Amino acid sequence: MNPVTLTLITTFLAATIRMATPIALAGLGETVSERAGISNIGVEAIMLSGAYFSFWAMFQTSSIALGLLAGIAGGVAASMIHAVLSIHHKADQTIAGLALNFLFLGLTSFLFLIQFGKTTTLPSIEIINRVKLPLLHRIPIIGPALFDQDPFVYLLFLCVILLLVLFYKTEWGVILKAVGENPRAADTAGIRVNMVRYGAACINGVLGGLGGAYLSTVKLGFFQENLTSGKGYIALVTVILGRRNPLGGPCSCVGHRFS
Amino acid sequence: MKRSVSNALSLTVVTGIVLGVSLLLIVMVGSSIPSSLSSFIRGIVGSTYSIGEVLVRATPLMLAALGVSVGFRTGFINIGAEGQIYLGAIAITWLGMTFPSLPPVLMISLSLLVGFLAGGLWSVIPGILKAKFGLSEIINTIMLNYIAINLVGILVRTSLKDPSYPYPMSPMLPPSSYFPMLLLPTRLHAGFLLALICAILVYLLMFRTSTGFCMRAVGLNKRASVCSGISVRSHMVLSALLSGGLAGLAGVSEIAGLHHRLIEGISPSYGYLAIVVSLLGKNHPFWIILSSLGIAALQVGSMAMQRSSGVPTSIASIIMGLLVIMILARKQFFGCKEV
Repeated sequence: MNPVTLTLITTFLAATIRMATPIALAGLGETVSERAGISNIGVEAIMLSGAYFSFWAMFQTSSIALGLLAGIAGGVAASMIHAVLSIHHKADQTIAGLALNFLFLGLTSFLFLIQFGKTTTLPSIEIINRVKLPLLHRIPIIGPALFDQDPFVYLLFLCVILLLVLFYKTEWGVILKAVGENPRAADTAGIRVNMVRYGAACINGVLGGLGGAYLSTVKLGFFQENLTSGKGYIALVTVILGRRNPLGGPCSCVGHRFS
Repeated sequence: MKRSVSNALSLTVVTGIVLGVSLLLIVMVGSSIPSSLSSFIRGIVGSTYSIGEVLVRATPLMLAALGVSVGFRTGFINIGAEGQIYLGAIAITWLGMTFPSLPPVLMISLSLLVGFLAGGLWSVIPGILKAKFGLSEIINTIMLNYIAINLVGILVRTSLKDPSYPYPMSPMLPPSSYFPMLLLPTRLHAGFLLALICAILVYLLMFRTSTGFCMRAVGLNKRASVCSGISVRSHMVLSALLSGGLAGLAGVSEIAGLHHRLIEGISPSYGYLAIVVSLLGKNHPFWIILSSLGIAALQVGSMAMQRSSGVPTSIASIIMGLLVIMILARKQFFGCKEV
């Protein structure tokens, strides 16, 4: 192959990974949640909340750590509303998720307009830079795509490995699955079903919030109304496509972004 | 007696919280509450035009919500009203462009039929997948939304495009396909009457016929329905057809009454709003008439509020989300039973 095509393939792969990352992160969170038996249609809301609050915190403090923390907190807040409604109040999960989407779509654009609506210039923040992993990024073709990316991509790899181990090699995974597939049996076996579900929803919020934060702090560097524009729903699909497997989800994301 | 008291109390509390939050939001923007509220109310009932505007907004919401409610009653969670609206719109545009010389009566009745079928068949796909293979209709309907929305995007750029305009939209449809206007200075069209008629028909079907009884039985308890000889599959598919068909009619009425041509984004998430409307209306046709008028008024009023007091329209979205969440939560707080 001539060098031009090679560079083209390399940049193409790198772009694919970059575009897949936010969706894959949110999809991983949703995977955990669905394994515990909570299917949250409100991934969109979680991502939006994460995107807005991380942007807001980074704009105010220009600290990356605080920004990410705020994004995580925003995501967890959104998913906790859904968790309380569907676990404590036993409400319809679908409708609760939908209501959440409306609420956060309105809330984030409302807050954004209040705080930044007066200026004509687009308020923007410094985007988080890429980090090259030594040596690994020199692997031809896949090297730059996998190992010359921003920290979120590495975080994604880490999460996939962690969740794989968690799901298939530890008791936690079995508990999670039991709670999702047969809550009554899990309850009889002495597992605190609701606690596990709240925990799963929390993880969903953290990962979804990070996925949203990726959009505003890495990809764009600014926020606008309805920033996620349906990416949350795509994340839902990748969960199904990946058959609720932590490796399958991100792979289907990459496939989806590839096309 | 006790239940009705706690019901009324809980509704008051929910209304109070939602009102309080909206006032707080208005204060946060820095607008004065009296002027915002008066512009909100004047935007809804201030003139004939504004009242007409509320009714125009309520029409697609009501039709789509009726469809959603039929699905919900049968246990078919239809999140795909959005896509079905687009399919109905495609159908009437295709009909108008292919047979432009039909007489008005035939044209309108045919377009209703074609729109109903297009929306209905679009929703029968997930209906059959659910009834036969047990696939989640929630995911399938959401995905079909994307297909439908982007299908419109392709069509208005290719085969249905108006060659004399550079913009992606279809040519104007023949006037024979237009719904008659009801209240002329306003944009109110006969689609509103269509929605009211559909509400009555849905009521008659769901609560006054044996088919409706079977459909509700399937929604309440599948197993018991099977045991008493009700075919779960066929009623599920039927409800999917009706559910999508009514949403398709919403698309037809938007084109025939309002836009008269196919453009992108004819439905600013009416399909998702319809689910909220249906929930607020307790999935009952007559309450849906009220709740669709309420949601339409909320939207129209918040737009007026943005124009005159600078409160962003996203306040409507916040209020709706909050309202639904409070209603879902009040069951536990007050121990009242929903239908």
